[in-house]
Amino acid sequence: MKKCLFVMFLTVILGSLIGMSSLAAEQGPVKIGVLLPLTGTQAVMAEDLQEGFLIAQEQINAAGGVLGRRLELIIEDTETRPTAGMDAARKLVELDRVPVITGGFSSGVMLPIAVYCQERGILVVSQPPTSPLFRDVGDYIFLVNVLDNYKGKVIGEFAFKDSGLKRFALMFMNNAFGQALKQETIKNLDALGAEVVTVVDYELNKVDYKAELTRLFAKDPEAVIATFYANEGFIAAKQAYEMGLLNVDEVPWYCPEMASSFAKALEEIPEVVEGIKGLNPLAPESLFMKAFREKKGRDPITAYSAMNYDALIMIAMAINFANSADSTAIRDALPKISQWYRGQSTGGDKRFDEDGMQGFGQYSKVILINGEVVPYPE
Amino acid sequence: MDIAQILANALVRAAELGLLAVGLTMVFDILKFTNFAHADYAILGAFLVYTFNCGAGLNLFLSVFLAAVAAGLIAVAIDKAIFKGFRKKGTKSVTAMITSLGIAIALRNIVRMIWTSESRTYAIPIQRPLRILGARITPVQIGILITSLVAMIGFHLLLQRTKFGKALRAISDNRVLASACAIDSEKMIQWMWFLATAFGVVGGTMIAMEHLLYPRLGFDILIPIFCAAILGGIGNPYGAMLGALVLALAENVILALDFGHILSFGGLFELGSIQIKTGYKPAISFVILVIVLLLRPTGILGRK
Repeated sequence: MKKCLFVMFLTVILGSLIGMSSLAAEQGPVKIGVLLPLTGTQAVMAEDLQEGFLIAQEQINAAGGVLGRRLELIIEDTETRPTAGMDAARKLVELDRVPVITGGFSSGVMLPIAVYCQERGILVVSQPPTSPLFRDVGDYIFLVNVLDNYKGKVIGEFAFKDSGLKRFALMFMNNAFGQALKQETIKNLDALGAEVVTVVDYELNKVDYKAELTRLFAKDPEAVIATFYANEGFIAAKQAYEMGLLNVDEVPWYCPEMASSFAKALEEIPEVVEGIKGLNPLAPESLFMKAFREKKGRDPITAYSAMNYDALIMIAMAINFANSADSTAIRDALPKISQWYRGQSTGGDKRFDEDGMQGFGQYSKVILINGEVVPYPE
Repeated sequence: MDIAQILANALVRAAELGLLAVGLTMVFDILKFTNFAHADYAILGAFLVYTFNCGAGLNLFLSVFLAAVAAGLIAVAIDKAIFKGFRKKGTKSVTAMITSLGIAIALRNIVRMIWTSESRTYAIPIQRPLRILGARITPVQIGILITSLVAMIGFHLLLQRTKFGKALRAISDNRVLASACAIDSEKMIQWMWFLATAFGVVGGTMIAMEHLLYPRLGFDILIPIFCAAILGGIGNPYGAMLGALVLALAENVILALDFGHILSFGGLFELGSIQIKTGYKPAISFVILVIVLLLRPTGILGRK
């Protein structure tokens, strides 16, 4: 009898504790998981990427939060590496129990996380990843940046028409982002009648790219199309210059991702990357730029900062629209929100297609001059 | 194929890796465990060079000297605090190896805490390359080659021509017997830590000068250093130098080779171009390593 009473007593205590904790969860802040490359090869942009989220968070909370509760960001570091990124995602999902993960920065890091979240019904709203492979992951995955199909087409056309040359050498990183972008670029160059004479894949986080650069120029290409992350872009540009291979007057270089490729090189060796042409997401709209300048006293070094802002604002709107912080409810509301939300990044049109991918963003043609990324005159 | 350029690139790479591989192999030779923290000691030193050079405005050579001494003393202090106890208790070498992995992670995070994770460069302006024997090479790279050569010769003389070197070799052969011959093995081990780390700091600084300096750099260069040390014969400093050279040549030459041209005897018949994909570059050194170890399990210059 005593044992039975003890079990009943324990059940009542546990029951009230669970009840209290769920009540607290409903009254407490709505938590959103944020993945950022705070360290690693893309850390140079981390501050500005984070600021995009923080500006959105401040504006959301100043306007009353979501569901009448405060919006809280739990920020984790991906170290710009898939394994560290996955550890961070697991922590967000299993310990912090967030309904949504946003950010992520690179396709190579985010792709396994997207699969993991899809299996668990956790919503992912990622940016800037652009690999077309995300399209097949599932219905919990949304991208706020345009896919590589678009970038591959635009960079191919830009390089072909601008240079008037036909023999191209390509250099892309050996991860989901680089390989998808490479395939699209080759496809579009072929369609234009250009010849791809050399394709160089390279590993990230290495300190020596001389062998890859030697191969890149082995068949005397007339122009180069290459993309990097910040550290690799610095090392490759420096080594190419020292080997006498980076002279855009002789062999022009085109880059489909200027912001992430040469952020470090622009800081340290602007004269080396002078004259490289490429693509950047369209500059953020004035509302975001004003808020960013007020906080930081300068312009953001990357347009992806505004993309993060857009992602969080859309998530918050979807939570309020769904009247729920449940992953599935937010997922169902997100496409509806995107139909009429006017964003601050890549031209403002943030509509998702039927697979949750971004179909309408715009990239602008730019050139590196005097250490600045400036619009390239058509 | 620009042979002169490929050789120049390989020599510079070997010069950078060689000094680090020598330090790694020294620790193994004397203490019989693989020190996973070796590259992180080197990068800690490279960050100290950055602070002395870019923060305090000291001359680069003086900065390297001060950083090498400081990092060497840190390595000695860690040995006294941790590994000396292991030696007294006769702890298994696998425990020391795992401990060194822990030290590596701790050092990496201490560096990140002090200097943040931002990547940095030394106060050396970008340089136009000089044309030497058909290869383009920058003054910094020439400096790296000379520094490495001088350090290697100095190390050889130290090992072969001094009492210190003889004592070190005696400890390497048989520590108990060396102690019986009145050699203070603990003191010698501390000197070995100091030297191995100082060499590592010079190597780490040269890599950072050529590329970029960031806290995870030690981890990124650890595999090629290991590969060079094992390839040459772990425990043999000359083997480590040779291993670094073989590794650097393998990375640079094999990627540049057109096997289609070779197999068709210089284009006697149509075979097209056959080249190893650059994405497989990290695997090249390991394939070479496996082949060498199959033919000679102790490495190129390893003891039988």
